[in-house]
Formats: sequence, C-alpha cells, structure tokens
Amino acid sequence: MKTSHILILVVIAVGIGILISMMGDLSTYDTIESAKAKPGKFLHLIAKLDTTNGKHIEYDALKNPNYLSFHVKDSLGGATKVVYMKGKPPTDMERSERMVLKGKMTDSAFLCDDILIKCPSKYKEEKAKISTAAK
Amino acid sequence: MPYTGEQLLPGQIGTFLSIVSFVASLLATVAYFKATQSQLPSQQQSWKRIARGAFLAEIIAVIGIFVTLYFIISNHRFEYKYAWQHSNYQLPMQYILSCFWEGQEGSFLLWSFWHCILGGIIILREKKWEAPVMVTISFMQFALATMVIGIYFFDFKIGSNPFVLMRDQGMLSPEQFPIGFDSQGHLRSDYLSFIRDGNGLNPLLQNYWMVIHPPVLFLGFASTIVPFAFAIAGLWKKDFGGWVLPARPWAIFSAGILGLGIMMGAAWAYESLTFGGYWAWDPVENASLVPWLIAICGIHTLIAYKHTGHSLRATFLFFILQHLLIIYSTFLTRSGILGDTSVHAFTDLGMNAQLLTFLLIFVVPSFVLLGMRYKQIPTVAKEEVISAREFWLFVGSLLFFISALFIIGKTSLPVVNKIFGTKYAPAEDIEYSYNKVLILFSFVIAILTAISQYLKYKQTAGAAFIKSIWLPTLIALVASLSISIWGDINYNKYGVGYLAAIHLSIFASVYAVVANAFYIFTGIKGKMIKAGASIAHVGFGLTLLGILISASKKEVLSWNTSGIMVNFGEQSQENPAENLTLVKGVATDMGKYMVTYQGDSTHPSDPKQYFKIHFKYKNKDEGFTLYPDAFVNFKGNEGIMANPDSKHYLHKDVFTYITSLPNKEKNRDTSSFKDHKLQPGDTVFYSQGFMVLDKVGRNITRKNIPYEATDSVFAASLTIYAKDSSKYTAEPMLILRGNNIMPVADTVISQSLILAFKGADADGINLGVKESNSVLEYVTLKAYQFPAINVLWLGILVMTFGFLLASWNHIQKNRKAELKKV
Repeated sequence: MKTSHILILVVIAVGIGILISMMGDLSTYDTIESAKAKPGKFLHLIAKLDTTNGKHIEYDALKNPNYLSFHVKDSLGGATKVVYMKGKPPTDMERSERMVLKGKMTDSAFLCDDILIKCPSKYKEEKAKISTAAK
Repeated sequence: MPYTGEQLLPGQIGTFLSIVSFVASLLATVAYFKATQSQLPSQQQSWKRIARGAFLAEIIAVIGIFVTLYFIISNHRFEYKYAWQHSNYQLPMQYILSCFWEGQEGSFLLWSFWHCILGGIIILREKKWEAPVMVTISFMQFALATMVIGIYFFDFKIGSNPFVLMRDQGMLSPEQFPIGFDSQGHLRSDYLSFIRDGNGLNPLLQNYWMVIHPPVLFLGFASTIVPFAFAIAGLWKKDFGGWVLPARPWAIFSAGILGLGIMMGAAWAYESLTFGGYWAWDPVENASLVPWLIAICGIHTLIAYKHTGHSLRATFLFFILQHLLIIYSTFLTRSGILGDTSVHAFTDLGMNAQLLTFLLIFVVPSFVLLGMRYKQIPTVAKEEVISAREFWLFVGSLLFFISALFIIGKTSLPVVNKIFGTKYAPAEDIEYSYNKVLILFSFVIAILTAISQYLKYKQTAGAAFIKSIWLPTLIALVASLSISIWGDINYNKYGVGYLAAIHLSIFASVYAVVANAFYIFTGIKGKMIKAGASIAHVGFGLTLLGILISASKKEVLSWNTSGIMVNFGEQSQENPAENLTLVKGVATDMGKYMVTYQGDSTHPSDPKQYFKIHFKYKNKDEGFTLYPDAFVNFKGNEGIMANPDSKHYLHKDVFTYITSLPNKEKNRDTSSFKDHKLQPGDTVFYSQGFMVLDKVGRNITRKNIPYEATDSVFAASLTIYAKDSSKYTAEPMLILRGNNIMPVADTVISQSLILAFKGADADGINLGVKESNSVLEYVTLKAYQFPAINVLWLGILVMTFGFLLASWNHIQKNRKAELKKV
C-alpha cells in the first residue's frame, strides 16, 4: 500500500468523523407550534414580539439584571412566553420585525439562550427621517 | 427645475469616472487577452501598449472616483444619498473615512483601489507574466466596476451608484420631510437648506480600528487575486511550473496582510463590540478566515513543489480556491443570506443576482480550466518518503485544508438550507462546536509547525534529526509543563477530554514557538533575511498559545453576588448570571475587587456617555478606574450601544462594558407620597423597614442646601432602620421664604426612599414617604478577565513581520535570479 493511499484513507476517516460530529450538533428552525411538540429540545424559534393585550417586556435591572421575559407569537398563530436569563433586552427589540430565539421549550415558557433581532433595515429605509432642526 | 445650493458637478464627475472605469477595465481585459494570445512579438507589444494605457486610465478613474466620493462626504454634501446616509456634522474628522467604507459601494471601491495599486506594480515588475496575469486582474476590475455603476440593463439594475441624489432616490417625501415641499406637493427649489444634518455613522463603527481595519483587510482580499491570476496564467499558457517562483512573494505577502486584516477586525471586536471577546465564529469572520487558511496551504505546497517537484496539482487547487473563497465570502456577507445566523452581515442590497453572477463567472471558468489541464500538470511518479519534509508539508496543508472545509461547511449552512429547502440551524453551543474539532487540528498542525523545518527534503537521517531537535523539544516540554502545572488551567466546562486537548495543544504551540526560534540560530545560522518563515511560525505558535490561554482562562468577574437580586422561580437553572447591577456610590463585591460606580459624564461634542467605574483591590490599597461608554438612546432608538473599556496589564486584561441603564422614560416616577402625621419619637413603617422621627429643629447638617440668610429653615431628623439591620439618617427640610413654602426632600438611595417634610401644625409634622425606583442611579454591567491576551496580539505582530520578511527575501531572490539570466 502506498503512503498516499494511507493518507487518503486517513483523510476520509477524519472527514467522516467531522461530518458525524457536525450532524449531531445541528439544531433546527421551528415554529412555536412545532417547538411545543418537542419540549426540552434545543432549537431555533422564529417569532415576533407580542405586546398586545397588555403583554409587556419585563426587565428590572434592580430586581435581577439577568432576568428578562416577554411574549412572542408567530404567523401560524402560536404564542408563548419567553424567559431569557442572560441580561437586558437587546437594542431595538421593540422595533424588531422578527426574532430568532435559541433555546428550549418548557411547560411554562420558552427558555432562551440567545436573541437575534432583525430590524427593518436602515439601508432600505424608503422614506428617510430628515433632520431639519436648526444647528 | 434647478435647486439652489446643490452641487451637482462632483456627482457628474463621479458618475462619468465610473463609466470610464467600466469601459477602461473591459478594454484592458480584452487587450491583455489579445496580447497573451497573439503569436507575433510585434502584435503582442502593440496589444500590450493598448492594455497598459487602458489600465492606466482605470487607475486614474478609480482614484478619481475615490477622491470625488471623499470630497462629497467630507464636505457634507447631503444632496447626495451616500453622504447623507453615512455621515453627519457631529462626526469627528478621523471617522469620515469609516463613513466611506461603511456602505457597500465604498467598500467595493476600496477593493478596486487596491487592485489598481497591485496591478500597477505587476505592470512595472512582472515582465513575462504581465499580460496573462493582468487579464484576470483587469477582468476582476471590470466585475467590481459593475458593482458601482448603477445602470439599468433592460429592467435589471446593475450595481449601485454611490453618486445618486437624495431626491432621485425617493428619499424625500412630503410625509417625512414636509418642510421641503410646497403646497402643491412639489419639492421646493431651496429644499437642501432644510436638510440640516445627515443620518450619521453606525456608532459601532466609530472606533479607530474601523479606520484602519477595512483598508488592511481589503488589501488582503485584493492581493489574493495575484497568486490566483498567476496560477490561472500557468494553466492557460501551459507553463505549469514557471509561475511558481514569481507568484511566491505575492502569495506570502497576501497571506500576511490578510491575516493581519482579519486579526485587526478581531481587535476591533474586542475593543468595541460587546460579545465579550475577539472571536465568535461569526460567519463574517469565518468567511475571511477560510481563504487565509487555504492560502497558507498553497504557500506550503508551493515550497514542497519548488524543492522536490511534488504537490504541484495541490498548489494550483489551493491558489485558485483561496481567491474563489474570497468572492464566495463577498457573496455570503453581502447577499443577506446569512441573515438569521450572523450579527453583522451586510444587509441585502437587492443585488443578489449580480453577486451570484460575480461568483459563478470566476468559479466556473477556473474549474473548467483546471479540469481541462489537470492531467497535463506534471507529477513525480515516485512516492514521497515518510521522513521527507515535503511529505509532512503536504500532510500539514491537507489538515489545514480540511479544517478550512469544516469551517466553510458549517458557515454555509444557510446556503445549504436555501438550495435544498432544509431547515438546519447552527449548534446550541456554536463556539464549542467549532473548538472541539479545531483544537485537535491545532494540536497536530502546531507539532508539524515545530518539526517540519528540521526535516530534510527527499529524506531525513534519523540521527541528525534527533541531534538537532532534542534540545528545543526538551525546553518546550519543560515550558509547557510549567504552564500546565502552575498556570492554573482547569477549564472543565466540557469535561476532562477537552481539558486534556487544551493542555496538549498548549504543549504543541509552545513547541512551535521554541523549535522555530531555535531553528533561526541552528538551522539557518542566524541569517535574519532568511528567517521570515521561522519568525512567522514563531508568531503562529504564539497566536495559538494566546488563543488557548485567553479562551480557557477567561474569567467572569461580574457573577451576580449582589444583594439586590431577587430570586425568581426560573432563576434556579444553571444559566450564567453574568450581569451585575451597581448602585451609584455603593461598593460591590466582584471577585478580587470591590467595584464602585462613581458617576457618569458627557461632553457636548461627543454623543457618548462615559461611566466611571472604580475597581479597588480587596487585599491592597490600590485600584484603577475604567470608563466604559455607551450611546444612550442613539437617534431615538431605545436602548444603549455600549463600548467596553479595559485595563491592560502585561499578563491580563480586565474588561468591562455596560449592559443596561435605568430607563428614565419608562421608570417614570408613578408612585406618590404617602403622608404621615408624626411627633418626635413616632415610628413609620415602609416596605424594607421602619423609620423614627428623632427631632424637628433649626440645625441644618446637610450641605449645599440653597437657602438664604433671611429664610426660616426647619429640618426633620429621621433615623431609618432597614430590615437588613443597616441604619441610615435623613433630613428632609422646609424652607420658608416670605409667603412661600419650599420643601427640600431627602433621599435614602439604597432603600429607594424619598422623604418630604410637607408642613407642620400642632399635632406634629406632616411627613411624605415615597418608595420609588426612579431615585436610584445605577448601571448594569459585565466584567471579564482575559489572561494572556497580549500573547495573542504579540503573536499576530510577529507572524505578520515574518510574512513580510519572507516576501521581501523572495523578491530579492527572484531579482537576483533574473539578473543572472541576463
């Protein structure tokens, strides 16, 4: 057997190993409905902030700077409470048009590790806010 | 209709130059192509003359566009969309350049600008290879010119012109900008005088790193085309080996600058962003790291080929891939496809079709050409010997290549989803999902980095090898064992196996540093001009070591240990509670430090708010003050954008940034005073304890109370007994000035209490008691400690120096070889 053949075999073995570890790590994008079907599983939830019917963002740095809770809903009608244990609401959360929440669904709420906010793009703002205040 | 105050000339010049650039680069491509293909030297020469003229016009046009756009931005010509979008008057002068490359158009121009410089050098220097190499570069310039030309081709918009006017882009509308329109709804001729300021620069980019990181990174991006163009030229002209030596200094230079540019971005992330580190495996970072990894592969197989004739096919593949991956990374970051996975991908400009074409028009011909010529590329029939240097160079490159594929594969998940309609998402712990694989690679690669230079080409004699390497091996073992034993590295978050891998990799990286440093003196006898490779390897080892130590020993200082945390039900899980709230003036326990929020300050010319955070060592009477800052409610966007501040020590950094501030608007004081009738000795209860009225008198102990000598002043002295058995005093007052009664309330900040002396009659005094959060001034922050981060930065500097030295050395060598030939 030639050295190059051994090398190729090693490369293939390493490649397969990596691929398996990658596939094992992957999670999925879910709706609120499908997330509720698999409680406890780490997943990415795509949803929208819900502030209707008096629901609000709850965060008080004095009580606990690591506790944030809010409500989300998605276009399929699902809704859930979200609890985030890592800090303050992300900038512009209220203006966001979409959120990607990483975490696990539990009975009481979606326990979230990370919040990614998608804001209406500043670059595509059709009608600009023009500053007209005199200097 | 003419509009007063507009300066249309710069825009017209700019647009004209964009068209010149578009035409000139196309002409240069065609002419260089003809020069390459023609058989007769006289024809070649005349085509070359045309091509050079065209490329010169291209250089002038691109520099002209650059200067024009800079003029528009720096003069705040807000009739132009680009200036309005990216700058404002408040911006300090040094950030005008950052505005320039904040937008897509500006960064494409920057890229194009570097190609002009590099192309100019190639025309002057590379005689034989000028024409075929410049075909590729001119074509790239053409492709980039289409990105900023902004014309419609039938209904398809090509590129985005940075010289468009606000009023032409629908940016001005009667709803948003009523003052600029007359009663008929037409734009007023003096509309411009009402646009007082621009939109400004994203605060995250207002950092000095953002002035220098993009030019360096784009020089790195741009320079990858040179070895690519050489490889293509070699395939095209069927001169499979001839391009290798002239391409070598370019390849080394490119890798050095690209690496530096990437790590400058890491330094910016460390100093300005708040994900608490310098690297987060973000797709944007990965996309530029991967071409670097592959360029390194190419350099190493090139060296193996040069000495032994092996690995030529791999060299072609690597140099072609590294540049294609640069274009791929442009596609990834600018098409918006990374939307859900990246924090800072550019937004979708609506140019996706064009970006995809840009990618394919390079990928397809490159691979077709490589495929057609592959069989003709010479190889050595004889197998490499296991003890030969070239064998291990190849193995190392292969490992680098696999790790690059791994990274780009993971990064491309959104692309896979798009193509196959799947819904895969990144792993739960993104950093660990990368680190656990790459740490194994880094171990093997660092070992190979250490020993490869001690191996000889063709075959290594065992005895000689051991004789030269035993000493550096021993020293590396001792050094790394002392780090492992006394360095307190016990990162057990992911178990023993991972910790063992960290220790092994620490050994390997120390080994790489020591062995290569030794090699400078034993292998090449201290000839510094030849030491570029060894120095770069030392730098690589140091970088790896810095990464390993700073990442595994990163410490959270701000674990929430303060008393003001309320225990919630959901609190009980193991989630880290890294945010700590500091009440102004109250020293809070933070590991080795007592930390106090002392106050904040702003400056009229600086939109940021600075927070004074004092760290005092518990065990000694010393400390330091950090000033993290933040844009608070920037441009009406609620919330803060924080910049960290660090205390730099030689062996560690203490790093802190603000995560939250009291929301003055939201926490509006809605509670009201509760009135109590009191006589001295009476007690009032509140939620956290009770208070006793000691006496009412005319002796004032509080300082800085604004009363005059003619006023009558009464003070109520109270003692507050809190539940946690702490005791406070308060002295609300009543000032009588003529017929006016002015109560001066007193506050007990740590108890959220406001006490007001509202009046008095025969039954006693009237005391208002209010409990409110709004009196509290506080900040919430995170603090980390990064040990050994300077090892990382030092490693980068050493590595870059090594690359540049090696590149310089090879330029000299090539020049000498040329002189000999003549």
